[in-house]
Amino acid sequence: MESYDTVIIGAGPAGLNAAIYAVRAGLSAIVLDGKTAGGLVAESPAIENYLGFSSIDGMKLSAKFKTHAQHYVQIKEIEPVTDIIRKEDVFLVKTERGEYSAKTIILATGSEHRHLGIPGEEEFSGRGVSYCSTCDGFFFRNKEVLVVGGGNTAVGDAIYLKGVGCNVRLVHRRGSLRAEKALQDKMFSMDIPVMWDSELVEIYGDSKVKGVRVRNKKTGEISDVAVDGIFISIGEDPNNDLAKNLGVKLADDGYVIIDRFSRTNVPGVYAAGDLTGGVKQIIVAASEGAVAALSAYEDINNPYWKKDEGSVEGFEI
Amino acid sequence: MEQLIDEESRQELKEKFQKEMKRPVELMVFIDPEDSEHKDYSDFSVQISKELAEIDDRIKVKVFNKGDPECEKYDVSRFPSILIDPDSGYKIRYTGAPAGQEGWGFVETITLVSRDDPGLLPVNAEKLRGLSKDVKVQVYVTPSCPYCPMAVVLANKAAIAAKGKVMAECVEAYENPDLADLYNVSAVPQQVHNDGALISVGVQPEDKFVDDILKS
Ligand SMILES: Cc1cc2nc3c(=O)[nH]c(=O)nc-3n(C[C@H](O)[C@H](O)[C@H](O)COP(=O)(O)OP(=O)(O)OC[C@H]3O[C@@H](n4cnc5c(N)ncnc54)[C@H](O)[C@@H]3O)c2cc1C
Repeated sequence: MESYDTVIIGAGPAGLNAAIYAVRAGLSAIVLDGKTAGGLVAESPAIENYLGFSSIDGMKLSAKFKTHAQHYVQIKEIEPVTDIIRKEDVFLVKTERGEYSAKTIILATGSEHRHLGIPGEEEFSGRGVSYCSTCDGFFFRNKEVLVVGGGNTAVGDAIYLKGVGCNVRLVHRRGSLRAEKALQDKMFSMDIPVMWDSELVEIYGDSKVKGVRVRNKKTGEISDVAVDGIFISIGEDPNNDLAKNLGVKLADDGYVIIDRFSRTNVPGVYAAGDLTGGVKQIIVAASEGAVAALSAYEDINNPYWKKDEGSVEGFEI
Repeated sequence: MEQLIDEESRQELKEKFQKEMKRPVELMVFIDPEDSEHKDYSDFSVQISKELAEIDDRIKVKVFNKGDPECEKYDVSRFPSILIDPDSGYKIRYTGAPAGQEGWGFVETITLVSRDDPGLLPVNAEKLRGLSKDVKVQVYVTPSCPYCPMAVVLANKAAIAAKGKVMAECVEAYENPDLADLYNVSAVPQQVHNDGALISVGVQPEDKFVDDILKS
């Protein structure tokens, strides 16, 4: 079995930056990803808030991350981790293809698109309902589409889809947007209308989406809106299964709790990036990854949990 | 056209090919020089193939034009198309340029073909080796879809395991909207087996992907 000082799970910005810092510190490391390296960054149509790049598309930035990290570390893609088991002083990391042993684990599994959970959503997924505007926007050019949400991702999606040539409207359940001002200004300058205080209650169609039923939260009125596509950008839920199995403490919303050293409550297990909640930005994910790797290095050489057997002294939340 | 693969990536690819390739692989690129609408895609397909050949001389490139007898011989009617090592019996083709995200899957497939290695879990490779019928697996993609190459590589791996039986075709939807419309593609990746006998959307787990082929 291959053994490493640290096995990093997830090859988004958090995991890849953790890998660079771990190897440069002198640790042996490997990165495993169930999909492809780059993580969610690759889905972003335009990134304008990552230091050093005034505007770069997500695909290019994620490719740069991957190439940079590959100078230091082996990245195994399409190798989802199915379980991690603690065995005395080491962790056994299980994947579909094999097992790895690790002194420490860095969890950087990010998050998944949240679903609305309304009738028709699953049924029409891939037939008009989409969670990735860069992937699927092209199929809706010159067609009517709704973007659901009010954060950066939703507004970014609306801007992207308008640029591709879709007739876009944003639907938001509140009376104001959470998205940063620069994005809002850009969206309004492109004449993208917003349906305020509105929520989708149903998606309907035949072989593909024909429309949605929308409820106005203020008046309670329900109306039918004919659309061809619905892009759902209402946030993400953490990929926390592995963390849960390891006994890592989660907050009420399911995100992993870490201290300022990116340590979890379980000795030798660190977490970084979107998995830990918060502002969910690339630069934050990358920085937490760096901290996690340096803490792993520190703890391998000087385990805090051995100073005072059993307790997790130094763990601050 | 300026260089498509930058110096840093060339170095990475050189090392990858040196480490992972075993035997030469031939890329056959089919273009229609008269078709101005697809000119950029055709230029891209020729150039990316030639740049890969510059990086490792075991990658060989042949370019054919619409009307050449090879179009009929290899059953090519859409331009550009790239066939990967068809003379060794594999049926792996890109209908449309392997641009954007598709690049890495294209490179991955070249190295797998060069090792004659399906790269699937042994049980799945075994199941496919026993396939007795012909199955066409099309994967519809867009160049901006980060998950699409995973589906394409799975199809290509199946075509390596079931040599000559599974035909894997990566269809780039921007360039082939008529085909995409035919199957109502509105989300990618979308798999279409045997011209519509089975349709699935999204990247499938390897086991399900293989079982779908066996079922088709
Ligand atoms: C459309 C969109 C636009 C965005 N735009 C911006 C922007 O402009 N600026 C910005 O700063 N941020 C943006 N973000 C947010 C940014 O993408 C995330 O904050 C960042 O990607 C988080 O990085 P991460 O490494 O924590 O997780 P991710 O990037 O989500 O990576 C996690 C990785 O873990 C892998 N994984 C999960 N479970 C397992 C498992 N069991 N085994 C193996 N691997 C696993 C996943 O496959 C994935 O590759 C955007 C997000 C979206 C969706």
